[in-house]
Order: sequence, then C-alpha cells, then structure tokens
Amino acid sequence: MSLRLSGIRARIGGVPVLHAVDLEIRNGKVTALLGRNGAGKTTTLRTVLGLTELDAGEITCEGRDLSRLPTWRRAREGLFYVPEDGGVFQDLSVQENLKLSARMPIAQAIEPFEELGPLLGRRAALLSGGERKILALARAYASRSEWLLIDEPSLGLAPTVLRRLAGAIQLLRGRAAMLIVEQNLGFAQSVADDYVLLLDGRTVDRGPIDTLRQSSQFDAAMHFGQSEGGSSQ
Amino acid sequence: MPRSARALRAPLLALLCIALFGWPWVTGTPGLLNLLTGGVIWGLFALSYHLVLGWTGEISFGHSLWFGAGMYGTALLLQATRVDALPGILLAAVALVPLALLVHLLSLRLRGPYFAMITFALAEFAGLLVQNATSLTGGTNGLTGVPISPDLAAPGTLYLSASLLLIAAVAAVLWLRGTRVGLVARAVRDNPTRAALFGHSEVWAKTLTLGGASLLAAIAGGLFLCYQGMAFPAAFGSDTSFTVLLMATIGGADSAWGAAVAGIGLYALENSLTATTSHWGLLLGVVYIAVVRFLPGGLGGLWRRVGASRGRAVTTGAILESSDQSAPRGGLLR
Amino acid sequence: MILNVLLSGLSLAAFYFILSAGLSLVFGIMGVLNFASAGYFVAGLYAAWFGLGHGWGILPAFIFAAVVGGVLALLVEVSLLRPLYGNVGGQILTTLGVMLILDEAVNWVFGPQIQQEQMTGLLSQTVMFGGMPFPVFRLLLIAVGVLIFLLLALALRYTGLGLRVRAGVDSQTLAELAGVRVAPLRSIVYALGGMLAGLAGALYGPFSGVYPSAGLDTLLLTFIVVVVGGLGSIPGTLAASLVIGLAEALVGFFVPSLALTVNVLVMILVLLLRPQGLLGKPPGRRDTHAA
Ligand SMILES: Nc1ncnc2c1ncn2[C@@H]1O[C@H](COP(=O)(O)OP(=O)(O)OP(=O)(O)O)[C@@H](O)[C@H]1O
Ligand SMILES: [Mg+2]
Repeated sequence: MSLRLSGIRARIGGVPVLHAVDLEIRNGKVTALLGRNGAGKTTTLRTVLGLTELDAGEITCEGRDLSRLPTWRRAREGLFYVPEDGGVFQDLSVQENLKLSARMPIAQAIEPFEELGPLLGRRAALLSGGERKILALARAYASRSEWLLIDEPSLGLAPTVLRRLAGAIQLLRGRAAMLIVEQNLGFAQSVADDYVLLLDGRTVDRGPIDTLRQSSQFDAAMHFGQSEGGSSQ
Repeated sequence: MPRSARALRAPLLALLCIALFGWPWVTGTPGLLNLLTGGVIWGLFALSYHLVLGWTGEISFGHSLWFGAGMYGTALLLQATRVDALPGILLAAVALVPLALLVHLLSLRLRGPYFAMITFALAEFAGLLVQNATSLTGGTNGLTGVPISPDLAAPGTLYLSASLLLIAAVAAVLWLRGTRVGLVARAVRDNPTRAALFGHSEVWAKTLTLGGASLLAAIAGGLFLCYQGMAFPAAFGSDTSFTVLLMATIGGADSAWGAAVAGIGLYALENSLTATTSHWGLLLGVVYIAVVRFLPGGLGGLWRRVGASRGRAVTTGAILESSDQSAPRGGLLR
Repeated sequence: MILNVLLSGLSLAAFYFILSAGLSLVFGIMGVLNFASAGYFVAGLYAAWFGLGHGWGILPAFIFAAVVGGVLALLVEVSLLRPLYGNVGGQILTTLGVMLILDEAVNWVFGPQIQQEQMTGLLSQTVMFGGMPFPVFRLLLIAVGVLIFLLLALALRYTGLGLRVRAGVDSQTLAELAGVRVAPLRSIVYALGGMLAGLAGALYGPFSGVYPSAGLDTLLLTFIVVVVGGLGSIPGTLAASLVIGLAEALVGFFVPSLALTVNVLVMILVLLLRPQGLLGKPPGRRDTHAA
C-alpha cells in the first residue's frame, strides 16, 4: 500500500519549479514534507492531484500510474487534498460540504468531530479558521480516502486548536497514508513518523522524524540560504 | 522578437501605407475609392477598440456609443455653426471626452462581464434616446442635410484626411505603447493588485485609456457622418459594437495595426458582399467562431508567427484571462 | 385599477425572471456571458409560433419551444464551447457568433417581418379585475414564473445534482477535488439555460409579436436584470426581476414614455450604491485553487 512519486518535474507558467521530487508514503504512516518557503511543497501536492501539470516523472498508486488521469478521477481513486485554506466550499453549508465527499452517513462522519454537530446548517464561509480546518479533516475522514495530502494544517491556529488537530490526524492515520506539509517543526514532530526534505524543487533527504535534526541537509533545506531571498515568518 | 523580423517590419508597413494611399488614385475607380474610404474610417474605429480590448483587457459591447456620439455631435455642431468639417469633427470629439471620462469612471465600478453588460445597456439606451429626441436628431429617419464644408465633401479629400488620421493614430498608439503610459496600462491590465502597490490606480488608468478610445471612436463617427452625408441611429446599435469588436479580435487583441487592417478589410468585405447577399450577419457569426477557433492571435499573431517563427502569439482569450476579471458574484441560492 | 397595474408588473417580472435565470445560472457555472441565449430565445419564439400556428395548443407549443432552445444549446456547448474550456474570452466571442448566426438564420427562413401569434384558447381570454379586463395569459405567465423559480430553487437545494452544481459554481477546482466531474454539469446547466431562454421566447410572442430581432431587443432588459440582481444568484435574479418589472409597470402606467428610462435609472442607481448587484457578493473572491 503505497503512493509513490518518482522523478517529478513540473513548471508553473513556464518557470520550472519542481526538478526532481521522489517520495513514497505508506498506509498508517504520516510523512512530513518539509522545506523553506518557496521550496515547492504546495506545488508537489498540487501536482499529485493534477492541478499543476506534470512535465516528467510518475505518480503511482499501488503500482498503477495516475499521472494521466483527470483530477476528479484521482479523487475517486482515493486521493484527498486539503489546501492551505482548508478548501471547503464557502457557499455550501457544513452538512453539504460533508455530503459532497462522504462515503458514509453524515451522522457517522461527524462522530469523531462532534464540534461540527451544532454547525451543520452553517455556511462554511462563516466558520472560524480552526472550524474550517476541522471541517476539512472531517471531509477527508468521511470520504474514506486512502491518501491524504494536507498543506500546512497548523497555519494560523492557536495551541489548543493545534492539539485538537493533532488528535484528528491521529484518528485519520489509522485508515490512510498522509503527507503533511508543515512549517511548524514542533507540530510536525508531534504527528509525523517520517520526514522528507525538499530544497529548491528537489527532495534531498528523508528518514524517521526523530533523526530530522541530524540530517546533513537540515540546515540547507530549512533555513534561508545565502542567495535566496524571501521573508520568514 | 528576433531582429530580422523587426527590421522587416518598418519597410513593410511603409509599403502598406503607400499602397493604401496610392491604390485608389492609381486605379482611379470611384467605387474602390468609396469602399476604401469607408474602410479606413472603420479602421480608425477598430483601432479605437484595440485600446479597449488590448490596453484595458475589458470587453465593451457598447463601443458604438462613442461612434454614434461623434457622428451626432459633429452633425449638430456643423448645423449650428459655420465651422469647417474637419475641425468640426475634432472639436466635437474633444468636447465629448469629459462626458466619456465620466461615463467610464461610472462603468468601471464594474469589471469583466458586468462591465460588458453596462456598456451594452448604456449604448442601447443612448440609441433609444436619440431615436426619441426627434426634433433634435430626426428620430429613426436620422439627421439629413448636414452642411459639410468642401474640405471633406469631395471623396478624394475625405479619403486622404481619413487615411492620414488613421496613420497618425496608429503611430500615436504604437508610440504610446512604448512609453510609461503604455507600460502602466499593461501593468494594470495584467495585474491590477500589484500595479496598485506601485501607485497606479486601475480605475484611473483604465478610465483614461477608455477616454482615448472614445476620442478616436468619436472622430471615426464624425468622419463617417461626412462619408454618408447623414447621421443615423443605427450607429448606436449593437451591430456596430459587435462588428468593431470582431474587427479588433481579427486584428489580434495585442496589435494596433492588426486592428486597423482588419477594420479596413472587414468593412470592404461586408460592403462588397452586401451587394450580393443580405445575410451579412450569418457570415459575421461564422467569422467570429472561426477566428476564435483558427486564428486565436488574430492578424497580429499571424504576422508575428510569419515574421518570427518562434514568437508567441498573444491571444484575445489570454489577454482577457490575464486581466483580472474577478467579478462580484453571489452564491446560487443567495 | 392599481391592482391591474400591479398584476401587469408581476407578469413582467415573471417574464424577466424566466428570461434572465438561465443567463445567470450559466454564468455561475461557466463564467461566460452567454450571448447565445438571445439566439435560443428567438428559436423558441419561432418554435412556439410554429406550433400555435399548426393548432398544437399552448402547452405542447411552449414545451416544443423549450426543447428547441435546450437542444440547440446542448449542441453548441458540446461542439463549440467545450473545446474552449478555460478560455473565457473565446467563449464569449463564440456565443456572440452563435447569437448572430441564429438570429440571421431565422431572418433568412422566416423573413424580417413581424408575424402575428395565433391567439386562440387561453391566449385570447381575459378576466375582470376591479372592473378592468386582464389577459389570462399574463396570469399564466405569473404562474409559470413562480413555478420555475420554485423548481430551480428546490432542485438546487435538495437534489444531489443541485448540490454538485452549486459546488461547481462555488469552485470548479474544489468540485473536481471532491470527485465531481464538472464537464457534464456544464453541459446540463447550459442546456437548461437554453431551455429557459426558449421558453422565455415562447412567452414573449403573445404580447410582443414574433420577429427575428426580438432576442437582441430583450437582451438589454436581460442584462439590466442580471446587473441589478447580481450574476449567478437565482434569488438575486428574482429580486431584480420584481424591482424592474414593477417599476416598469408603475412608471409605464403613469408616464408611458419613461418606462424604459426608469429601468436604466434603476440600474445606474444600483451600480452606484451596490456595484455587486442587489444580492451579489462583493468582489475579491475568485477560484483561488484554479491551476
Ligand atoms: N504562478 C506562479 N508563477 C511563477 N512561479 C510561481 C507561481 N506560483 C508559485 N511559483 C513559484 O514556485 C515555487 C514553489 O512554490 P510553492 O507554493 O510550491 O512553495 P511552498 O514550498 O509551498 O512555499 P510556502 O512554504 O511559502 O507555502 C516558488 O518559488 C514560487 O515563487
Ligand atoms: Mg505552500
């Protein structure tokens, strides 16, 4: 049971962004995709879903090549992508958001996410940032997807909400393989099993998460280098 | 663009201008002169639309408003005063600019499809006003008996003046494109948010560009008055707007001279065909669909492809895409 | 008497709603200002005229008109618009071309003259309201308008298809990410838009006559209604139809020459005060997940 990216190259608007991305995620494991701003983490996730076109390389799911399939087919193959902002339908209610991807009764889907109960009728645009993230994870859970790709789940969340989120991720880990993009190292270390380091569009190292700091590439990949511009937050 | 193509360009264009000028004189056929005069005027009108489509990235379905306003404005001015026709046209057009700026400032509260619709509504409304103000405008019969001074009454001089105006206008647009004004216009078209960071207001840049477009359209309208000898309410009609939009599209959204050439060509085509078929609209529709399908960069794109096999054509679709069309929209059920 | 005027206003509003709802829906899912809808309108107008002229009765003739509009729209979507997916500018120009072709084709086949609709049966009857005769047809129009609004609103709200359509309108990319195939949704909505336009054409004939440029003539009002209501919002379209229809009837009753002017004035007023339309949302939100 694995989803494998090999030799991925992709460009955005003609500019090469991914040069050589190789990684593999396995069922029951949480993999953290780490790298500084602009390394290509978001682009990697989008490429897996077919939102950014693939130049070269392969995306295989249990040996089957997905890279020619349209986005909606990949979704039906069990890939679920949660973009940075949660990717919920703003104009639909919480219940409708769930219903759209659910492969189980709504009542069952929100059992682990009981805070959504009173919000079912509310339009998603009116949710708080934290509630939106929970809704996004509830959608992923309800969809019974086997491959979850989550972009910066911790972004902009208070510590208590973070703990709640970590709990939700633990719940999902049992049924799926997860690839999580993170800037918050502490959070990444608390939920992930493995790491993959991305540097300027190339995967440069991987390993168990507790060995992250020992990685020879850690400093290069995580901190702003000499030449690179940008601002850290 | 490779240097060879650029070097080729100027002499070719000069040749084109000379041919345009000389041709009717050489052949001396009044029919051809007549056809080309109308064509050159519409070329100028199409050039004005190039400013709308290529410079602001908006679509207007009511550009006829300024063509008609120039036509009726000139007619009323010539009736009321003794001014000569050519200065009269320019005077009327310039006098319309403040009104145009006001209207554009108002319309530009909307973008994209909303902007397109409001322009359409305003032009239709103006046409209705003109048709109903019978005492001033002659209503549906149009305004006849406008005194046109000899400077533009003779076909030859009208042709000459219109051609000179067209060439001057193309040159002006091409020159402006390279200056700061043109750069700001394109910056605002492609990324209004970022341009705003540099202190360039999208609304003002577009208002001024559209003001220039209205000015040129009004001049074309005034010339067309002299050409037809009368002002007619159909000038405000949607057919006028759709035709000029098609001309600028065929020319290529990013190409000033392409618009002018397409204007001349399409007008000539229409008027040589209407002699044989009354179903011009059918052809117009087919051409619309065909251009989108088979000539997405228009004549300008074609030229670039021929001149420099590697140049990338800029399609109308791409310009309309890149311009920020973030229109207000509501949820379906709210 | 005032009741009469109000009823006229409501019937106008119903007509405007049917006329504009399709345009609004199609814009919602495709982002395209669908000029071709004026073409489907004319096709429906002549289809109903043909049916009524052959003694079909009002219901079959109007259904025929809607079907003609829908089938034409489906053909256009599949053959011309689908290949241009993502190219909004190209799609607008193409729908404009389709409108010109349909108008001219009708002109070619049936001639430019105004044809009189066969006013028999229900179409010719009147009822008395406050001592004034009122055409039954206009009452029928109100009923059809209400029916269509309810059908649209309920279908969008309570069916799976409606949910997917709304998701697609919200964000095509997110819909695809949820496993929704958006391409067929577009075809369905576009065909539905064509049906509504065709039906609107059929409803137009009995009170304004049958002629080729009818589509272009009503386009102005369609645009006014959607600008006032906000594109892509069905309740907005309804609200705008009511405002415009009632204003037109009231002003038209007291000062007939100002009837259209008042519509344009309402539009300009709304633009100044609420550029996003009555029920539209403020600008700034777009499909941030799109490629
Ligand atoms: N539309 C675009 N055109 C050109 N380059 C782009 C575009 N979008 C993104 N890029 C570039 O692609 C690179 C990778 O972007 P990506 O969003 O994948 O980075 P990221 O690793 O997710 O960064 P962050 O941590 O800031 O979210 C960046 O250098 C970015 O500038
Ligand atoms: Mg990112």
